[in-house]
Parts: sequence; structure tokens; C-alpha cells
Amino acid sequence: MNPRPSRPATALALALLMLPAATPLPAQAEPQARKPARKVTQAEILRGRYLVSTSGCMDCHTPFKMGPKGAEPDLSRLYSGHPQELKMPEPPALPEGPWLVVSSATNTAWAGPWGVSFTANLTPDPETGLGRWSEADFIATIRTGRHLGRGREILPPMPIPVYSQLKDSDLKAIFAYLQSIPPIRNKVPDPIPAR
Amino acid sequence: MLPSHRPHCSRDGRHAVAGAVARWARWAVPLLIALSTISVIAQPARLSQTGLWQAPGQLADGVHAFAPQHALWSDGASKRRWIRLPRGSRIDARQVDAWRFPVGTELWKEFGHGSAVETRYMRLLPGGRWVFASYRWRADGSDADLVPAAGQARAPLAGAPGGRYDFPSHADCIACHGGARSPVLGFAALQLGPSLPAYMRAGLLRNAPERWLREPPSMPGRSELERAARGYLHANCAHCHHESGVPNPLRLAQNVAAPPGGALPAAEILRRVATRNPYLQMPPLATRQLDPEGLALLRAWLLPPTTQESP
Repeated sequence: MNPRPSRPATALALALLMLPAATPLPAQAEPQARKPARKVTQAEILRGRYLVSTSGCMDCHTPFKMGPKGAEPDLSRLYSGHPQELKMPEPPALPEGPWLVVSSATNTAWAGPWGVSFTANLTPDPETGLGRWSEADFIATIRTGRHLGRGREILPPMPIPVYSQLKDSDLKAIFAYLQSIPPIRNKVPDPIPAR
Repeated sequence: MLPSHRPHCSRDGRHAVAGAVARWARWAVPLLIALSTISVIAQPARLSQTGLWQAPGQLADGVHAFAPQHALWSDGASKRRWIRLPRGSRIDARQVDAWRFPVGTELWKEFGHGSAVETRYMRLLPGGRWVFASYRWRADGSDADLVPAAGQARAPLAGAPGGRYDFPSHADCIACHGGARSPVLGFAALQLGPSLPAYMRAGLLRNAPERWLREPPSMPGRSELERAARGYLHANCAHCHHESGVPNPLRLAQNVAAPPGGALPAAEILRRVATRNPYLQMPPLATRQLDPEGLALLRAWLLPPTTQESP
């Protein structure tokens, strides 16, 4: 069995949820349904878009870049997770004290007591994203906090304790929306355990 | 008066009935819900209460020992396994790679490190729901006690590797058994192999091909090495990596009637099997130690001789 994320790590995940979603969903082309296993309505997709935009998903799963007004999400990489070409150096060692976690400027790489985690590619790319996932796979992941409901644990700062309480209909809507956005091929690095 | 009174009475009557139903529902519905979940939660507190033995060291009537040809690696633990079907019932083997078990089927699996440390128990309830339990053996070996549903991770345990042992949570049980072709992983055609005819003659199966009595199923492969390696992958990976399993094109489950399939991604398989990095390792749970013999077997089969490394 894998070690469970430490209490500080879980606390961090919860604390992050307390933050207001800093990034509103940008204006973009109306999302369109792909070929799902079941019939998905446009209303579900829009509901999913609403939930994603109000739940802070953008803040970690779309890398930030510097724009004229400061850090802003790079919409050319919408929900594609940590950029594969961005090789992160060793995280800085924090001194003794209350600081616990560091994150990259992109907000897609996080280091803490659990090691280093990289935010996932949520686009429907079949090789590097959720393209092969089923709705059931997505729900099982969020419900159990395990990859696909049976693999490794989902790491901080992903706020599984909060999202796992969403209703099935909300999770289905979120998945329907994520399957409707453009696929982006971006292989996110594997997480690194703490030493 | 009567005509106008009747509807009035009837309306009152309906209200009275509705009120009674509402009052009944207030306590009965939660009670019914609670009763329906007790079947999941209320496992016997002690292993001895599951009915595995009729006397110390003596298996109860109807309990059959079995051993799969290819074992799941469990950090070097020794294992013993048993199955019991309800009297007069049989396993339906029509789907040769996904047997259907009768309601009331029970299985036990004992794990040992020198002596017994844990016995896992699963039982099929009416409605097709399997329930799982883990029992932790007492130090004096007199019995084993039910582990909480949340499990006990890294519990101190003399004799276990590193002095620690993981008693699985209910969710851990479901992670491996819940998505498999059949929740019973070890009592299956390819796993029983040569011992299958004995269980057929003992009347445990129905709809099993008669030819299995003469030619029991065997792990596919062109050589003993390939059969052993595919068997290892089948035992350790097939519960997730099957045709309708995880959304990954890697298929490691073997089928009774199908050819073994094409080349496998050797480097990726070895990368995941040869690490206990908890974020990468395969299987992803229930093991913290590498399996040197299993790794040597996979390397011998997957790697060309010139590229093999020492384990």
C-alpha cells in the first residue's frame, strides 16, 4: 500500500480550497460534445464548464505564464497540466519553520512533505490525457482518491476530500465538459516521492 | 348530508393514511437503510466465527483448499487458500475466464511470515455484492480479530519485512477485486490448471467444458519461460489490465481460448515492476518489497539476452 499523504499535506489541500478561485473561466469557443459512451447533452457540458470554472480547476491544471498584467493562465495549454518541456530542478530545501510547500511559477509543480507532484493533463488526448478514460474511471478516481479508482493515490494539492463529495451528476457533467475541450498532447512527468 | 360528508370523511381518511405512512417512513426508511448496510459492515468479529474450521486445525465440512498455479507477490508471505460453496450449489463456468459464483460463496486467504499473520475473507451476498474482511492473527495463534474497515497501514509486526505489515482497508480490497473480470482472482480456470479436473469431479462446477477433465486449461505460451512469465503477469496484473479494465492498451490478462497476444512494452513493464517508488510501482498497492524471482523471470523473457541486467 502506498503511504497516505501526510496530515499537513491534506491540510494544505483543504486550505487551497478555501482560497477563492483566482482565475475565472476565459471566454472561449463554445465547447462541443465528442463521441461519449452515452449521450451527453449540451446542457451537461455547460454545467460541467460552470462547475470547473467555479471550483478552481484552472488554477493548477492550466499553466500560468506572465502577461502584461502579470501571471495569467496560458489558454493555449488549457487544462493540459504541467508542461512536459518544463524540467523542474530539485525543489528548494525549506528552513525549519512554518513554511511547508513550494510551487512553480506555472502553478503546475508542487513540492511538499509528499514529494513533488505535477498537475495532470485533463484534456481528451488519448495518449497523455483523459482520452481513453470512461466516465466511470473519472468518477472512481475522484471518489476514491486513487488513480482510476485502483492505482496510486492522487497527491496534493488536489483537493480530493472536497471534490469526492460532489454528486455523480456533477462529476459526470465535469467529465463531459473536459471531454469536449481540445485535446493537447502533453505528457506530464511522473510524481517524485519524498526522500 | 351524506353525499357531502362522504368525501369529507374520505379526504380525512386519506390524510390519516398519508400521515401514518409518513410517520412510519420517518423511522422505517432509515431502519431499512441501516439493515441493508449492516450486511456489509457487520462481519464476524473473529475469524473462528466465519466457519473455516470445525475444530482447531480441522477444516469445516465443505471447505476446499486450493492453490493457483501463479501466485500474486505479497512481499514474500506464505499463503494458504480455501473456498466453500453453499451446499448443493456450483460455480457457473460458462464464461470460461469469468466464472460466476453462487450466492453464499466464501473464500479465505491466509498470509504468513513464519506464522500466520492475517487471513482475508470474502463472501458473496444475495444481489451479487461481495463483502471483504481482514483478520489479524493474535500472537498466540488462538484466533484472528477483525481489522477495522479503514485497515491498518504499516502496523508493527514481528516477522514481517521491516517489522511492518499492511492490513488492507475495505477500499484496498475493492481496488483489486472490484474491477476484475471475476472478483475471485485465484479460483479460476487458468489459475487452477492441472488441479481443475479434481474440482470438477468434486462437483464444484457446472457448464465447464468436458474436455477440461482430460486437458485442463494451461497458460498460453510457446515455451515454459513464456508460460511462466505470462502467468506471473496474469497473477499480478490481470485484475486491472484486462479487456475491459483500466483504460490503458496494455493487456496482461490471459484467456483460456485465445492466443497469448503480441509483443509487450518490455521497458515500461520492467520500469514499473522493478520499483517500489509508491507513485510508480506496479502493482500499485499491497506490496512494498521487490520480488527478485519474479523480476528475474520477467527480465529473462522480456529482454534479449544481451541486454539483461542483474536484478
